Amino acid sequence: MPLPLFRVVEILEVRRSSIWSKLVNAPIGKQPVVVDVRTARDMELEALELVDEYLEDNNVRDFPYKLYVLTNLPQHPRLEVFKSWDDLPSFFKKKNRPLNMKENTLMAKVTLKQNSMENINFSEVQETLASYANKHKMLAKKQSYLDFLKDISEGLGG
Amino acid sequence: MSDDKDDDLAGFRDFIEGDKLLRRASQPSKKHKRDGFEMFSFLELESKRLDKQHKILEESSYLLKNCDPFTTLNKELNKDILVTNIKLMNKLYKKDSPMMKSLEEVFKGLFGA
Repeated sequence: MPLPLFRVVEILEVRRSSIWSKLVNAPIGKQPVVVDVRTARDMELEALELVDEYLEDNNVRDFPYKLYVLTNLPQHPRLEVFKSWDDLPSFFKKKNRPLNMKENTLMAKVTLKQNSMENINFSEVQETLASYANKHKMLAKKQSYLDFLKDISEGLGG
Repeated sequence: MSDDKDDDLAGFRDFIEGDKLLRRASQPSKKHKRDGFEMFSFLELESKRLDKQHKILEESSYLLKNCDPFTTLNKELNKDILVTNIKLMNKLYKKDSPMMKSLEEVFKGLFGA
């Protein structure tokens, strides 16, 4: 496994085949990948849509390392967009170099953990979390309705 | 005295200075040492981060799935809402309640005393 440092994929040409071939070779999920579409200029939105389409169609799992997109566009409903390199999480911004003995041992540990992450059924976990969140949103709504009733009741006194 | 020492070292000076230079070259620079520490601590933090993620996704999601307090909480809330609603209705329909007084005034205004 490579070191978990940013890998930049520059999109120079806004064509489905070109973007898809670049993304196929990118280690999405195994390393934090940054897709830079700023070079596409007027075609940034189209490039973003093609990236999103690739992730959706191929059911790509960007986990445990997210996929980040560098673009001048303010937001995207599904992709995590950033304006510049400085806005990206600094945690993964390290200089890549050969590791020494100690670091190699630690990296082996990290690799083991990365591999164990691959065994997690992510869609099942997502489903569990979503269902838990929805149920508890409903509870929160009911609780606020109860608070409203109590407020009125207290206002009436007695 | 120092001149004598210098004379003794004649011929060896290049060798000594060369040795010093070699030693300096083989010592890792401070920057390199700092980089090494940075990389080591980065890998340590990354290992901890993955541990935490693993814990959330495996253990916590298992707990959420199998020991969800939703049913109990929902039952309790429904009961509380029902009880509060009944109390509220009782207060509203009392003869001297503000709602009844307002209604009385409205009706008096419309149909006379």
